[in-house]
Amino acid sequence: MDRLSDLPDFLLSDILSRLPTTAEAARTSVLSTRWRYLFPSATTLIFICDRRVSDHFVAFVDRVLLLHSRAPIKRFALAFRDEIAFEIDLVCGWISHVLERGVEKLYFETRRERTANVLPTRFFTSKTLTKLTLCGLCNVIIPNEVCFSSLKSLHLEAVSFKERDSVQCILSGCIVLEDLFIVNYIPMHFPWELSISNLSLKWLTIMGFDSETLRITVDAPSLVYLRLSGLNAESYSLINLQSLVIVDFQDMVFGVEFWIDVFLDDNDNILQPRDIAVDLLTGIRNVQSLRLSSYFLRIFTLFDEPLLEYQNLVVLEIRNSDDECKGGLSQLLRMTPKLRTLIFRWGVFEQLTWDPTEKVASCLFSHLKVIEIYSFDGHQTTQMDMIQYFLKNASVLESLKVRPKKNVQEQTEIAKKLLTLPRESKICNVEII
Amino acid sequence: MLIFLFDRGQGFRVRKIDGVVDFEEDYVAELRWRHIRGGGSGGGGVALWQTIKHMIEDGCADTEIPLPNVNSQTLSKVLEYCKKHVEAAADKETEPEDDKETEPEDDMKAWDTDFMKTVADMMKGKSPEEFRKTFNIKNDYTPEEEAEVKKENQWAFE
Repeated sequence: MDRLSDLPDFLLSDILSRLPTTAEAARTSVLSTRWRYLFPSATTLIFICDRRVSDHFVAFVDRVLLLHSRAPIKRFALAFRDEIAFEIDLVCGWISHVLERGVEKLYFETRRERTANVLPTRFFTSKTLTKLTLCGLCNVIIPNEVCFSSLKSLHLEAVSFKERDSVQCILSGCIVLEDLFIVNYIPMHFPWELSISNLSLKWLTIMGFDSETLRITVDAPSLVYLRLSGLNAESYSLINLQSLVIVDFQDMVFGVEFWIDVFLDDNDNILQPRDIAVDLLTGIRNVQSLRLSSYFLRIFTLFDEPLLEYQNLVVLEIRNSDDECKGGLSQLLRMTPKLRTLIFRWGVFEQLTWDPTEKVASCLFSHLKVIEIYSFDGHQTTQMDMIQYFLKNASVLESLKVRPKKNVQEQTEIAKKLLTLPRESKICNVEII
Repeated sequence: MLIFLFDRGQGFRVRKIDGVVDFEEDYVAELRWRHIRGGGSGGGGVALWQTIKHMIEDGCADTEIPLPNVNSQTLSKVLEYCKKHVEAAADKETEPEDDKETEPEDDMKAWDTDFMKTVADMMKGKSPEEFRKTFNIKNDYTPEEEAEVKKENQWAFE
């Protein structure tokens, strides 16, 4: 007895909407007559063209859009993989059509260079779009009027725009934008800039792997989360980030040149790498939770006196970045007077050096309650010395968790050693994990 | 009272005793146990859900329906689904209209989503033949018609 086919249309089209592609949903049309016209009513339409754009593909998309007469189109995805060529007018027409149908989430991916006019003018004033992802579009032309009145989430990956201020034009038209994700931004005008200014923006991620040296400006008073990854910017201007809670620089690296080279600005003034770092670090001064790559620690060795105080910082997590970094931790701790939790992820702790004669950071006396060390090599005396130092000085410490790197037998020895170290805090619990 | 009688060999039977729909916790627990053990195979979950849903909706009298060959995993999902719907319906009847009313509905919506997902996961990557077999769908096309349907959406079958 076939009870699946007895389900009402709306449930079946909901189920069909959850299949990976519309092509897969379309294959249910041969099951029985009941299924013949069900798949075009799915609320999610996903077309992935990974081979030549044939007449069959065009006919298929046209047919689905035509048959999809009553139900709303909530999500529409169209991807041309590799450098597959397509007819601009045709695709522009499809996008126009789904916009007319009130599409909420739109995904469009291409690798073609000539895609400047693929987005219809009406696209830029969509009232229904809530999430938009564009990948690989080149030289996009932005009309004078841009207004995405419902857009909350915008992802741009390897997109370039014709005009210098295009990104800013789009963002000015996004009045309720909360999430912005920019990967491998391709600047078209020298000097290369990426300027982000928006009042409602809460989450911002900028990633670049092979990107040019950009000048990055962020002005976002509502910003709560900031992640910069793999960038090699020549300047950072972080303005109005008073709402900032979480900053993630765990994948941040600075090129070798960062420490050696100098940059020249428009007037041929010399920009010191140190100053670039200062702009970045002072721009996030309100952060409460900070995640750094261990490479970052090197910056702090550049300063004899604390650069600034992170008055709100309570959680600090340091991750490995496959680079030898040694000093810098003591300088950093002197900048974090309210620090409560300090976490060393895998591969960080055994690289650190520590000079116990340095001035003790004030957070150790007053706030530091939790230390977690995720790779501890018990054979290096410096590491045991550092733990000894923490236990001796952290007077309100409640928990120290250590995960040794070595095998079980050695773990027991390490545990014995760790547990017998003198502790300043009476309530401190030492745990081997 | 709707009682689900679990039969290790045969599958599952449903019995409705009076107006109130309820579940025997033991049976649900038994199903969970089977679920953990990974027993059973094959589909039919949606069909079962459909049957039970109809029973609840129709308010049918004392009925006993044998449901053999049902995968325990889908069955436990279905049971949970029914339970959610019944609970939500009961809440609606008893509670006066206030803000609270939206809560079970939201909860149910989330559960519905989960249910659709499970069924969609069962459908993924299956050939039409496998699909028909899993869900017991009878092909009522003539060979000519089937060829025509394939031609209509040719790109999807390439």
